[in-house]
Amino acid sequence: MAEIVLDRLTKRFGENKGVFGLSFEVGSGEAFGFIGPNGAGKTTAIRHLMGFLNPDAGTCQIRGMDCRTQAASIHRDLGYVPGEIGFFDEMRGEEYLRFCERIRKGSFARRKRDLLERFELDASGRIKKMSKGMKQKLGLISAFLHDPGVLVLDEPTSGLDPLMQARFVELVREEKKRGKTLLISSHSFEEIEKTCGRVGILKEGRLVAVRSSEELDAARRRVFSLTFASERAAEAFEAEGFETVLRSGRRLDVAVTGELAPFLAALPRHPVTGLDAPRQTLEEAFMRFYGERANDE
Amino acid sequence: MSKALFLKNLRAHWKLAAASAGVLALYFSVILGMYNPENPGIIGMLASYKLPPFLLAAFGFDRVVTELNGFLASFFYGMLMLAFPLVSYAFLANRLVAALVEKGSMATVLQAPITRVKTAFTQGVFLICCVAFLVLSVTLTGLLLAQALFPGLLGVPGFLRLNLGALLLHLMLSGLCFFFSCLFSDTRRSLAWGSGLPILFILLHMLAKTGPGLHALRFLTPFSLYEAMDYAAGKPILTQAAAMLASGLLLYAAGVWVFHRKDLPL
Repeated sequence: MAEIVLDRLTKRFGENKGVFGLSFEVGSGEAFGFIGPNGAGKTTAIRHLMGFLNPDAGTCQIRGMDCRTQAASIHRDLGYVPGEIGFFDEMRGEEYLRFCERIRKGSFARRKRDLLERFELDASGRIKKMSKGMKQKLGLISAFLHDPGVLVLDEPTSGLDPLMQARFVELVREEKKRGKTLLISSHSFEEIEKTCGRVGILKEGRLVAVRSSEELDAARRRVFSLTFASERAAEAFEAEGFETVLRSGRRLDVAVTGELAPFLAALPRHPVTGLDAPRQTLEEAFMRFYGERANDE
Repeated sequence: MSKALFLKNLRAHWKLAAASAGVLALYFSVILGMYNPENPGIIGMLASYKLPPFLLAAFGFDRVVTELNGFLASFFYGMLMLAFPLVSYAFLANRLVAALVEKGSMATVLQAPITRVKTAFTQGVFLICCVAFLVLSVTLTGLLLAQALFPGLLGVPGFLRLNLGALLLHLMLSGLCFFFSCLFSDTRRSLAWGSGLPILFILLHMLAKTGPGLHALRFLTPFSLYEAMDYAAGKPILTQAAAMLASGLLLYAAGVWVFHRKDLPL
């Protein structure tokens, strides 16, 4: 059964900003990823799901309830991490979590302790003095605190170090196993692929494709930066027929889409002195969807 | 109403409310100390400073009043009691809604199972409580101090009417601040309108009193609903009081309504 349903959701913030006819469904117990570069409309879609924005057209529903008009009922069993978390200046971390409990008229002492331990957070200090990572942890804990059935997470791991990102992935996997429904947005595929079964790709407010993360991984275009013993050798490698992204002197950047085997097999035939995989943007990794004439579906 | 949110407001803002009440009580005692029942010569004293008469009139210091109620109505409720509370609750109104939306902390409240109407209603009730607290603290200070310094000289019914009028005036003006705080999602515009408009009203109110030529300006400001001397003297004020109460409640309701309807960047 679909827990989260967007149906032709449209919100215009001027030319090409906003979301346009966005439709997708997230099933019960599913983790759905939502990727797109900054400004693609991820946060706009999520704000509609939270009932913070009025759609120009279309609807969005969670568990059959309208996100805008029945927000309070939906929120009884929903947890949210905003893209930019705002706290109350005057509070300490503990006070903030206590406020989150009070405003939900509940007490979640055990869960709170577990989450604080999991994210290794000392919440006794003033929020104003906390680092970005600590604030992010506090935001995550407050979203999972009341053990909600639906979680809406906007860029949940921003500011977390790799260890804490791994803890987060672990937590999401556990929650999924317990039947929770999750919608997670991100501007990097790496962040999503470990947790989400299905991924929607957003471009300029429109959904250009929905794929399983395995399919996306296979369709991913990887760029490798190679260094050779001589300029000659770099030229010789170029003749192997891989897609050249850039060649400058002894350095050659090649792009490989899908199967890596042919590329790996070619490497020992050449005097390679350096191999590097630079971090890629979403547009680079999924040029197929983000190219000028992307009309995949 | 959300009790958790109300208590959170109280913890965050009680210092501001207490400090404002303290300063107001201090002003009151200074003004009261200037009263001299034998020789109400404050006009003469001010004249000796060679201040231009229109300036005195602008502050309401132009009437020869002998009895204590009239003195207070003119020298405290004519200007200080109008302007000072306004500054503190204009600031507070902005913090209660617009600042929380701008900062994003409103998301903590609205992601809970609480409707927007309930949220805005709670903030409105809190603001009204603060306004009432300020006026009430002045009323009590006045009753106690006047009794201590000038026993028997204060006409209590008139003084209470004076304060009731001030309460209704501030209910109306704080409603305006609250409305703009709910309407705008940034503190810049919320403060500019929420405090700018009332300050403009005060200036018009002062200008209107400087002379007959500008007297018509009084119809442009809601302060003309609160002529302190009329309230103190027991003239019929029911219409004005009812107008202030009604517009105050209307502005608060309008604030809750726009907050319910608007797009929130959270």
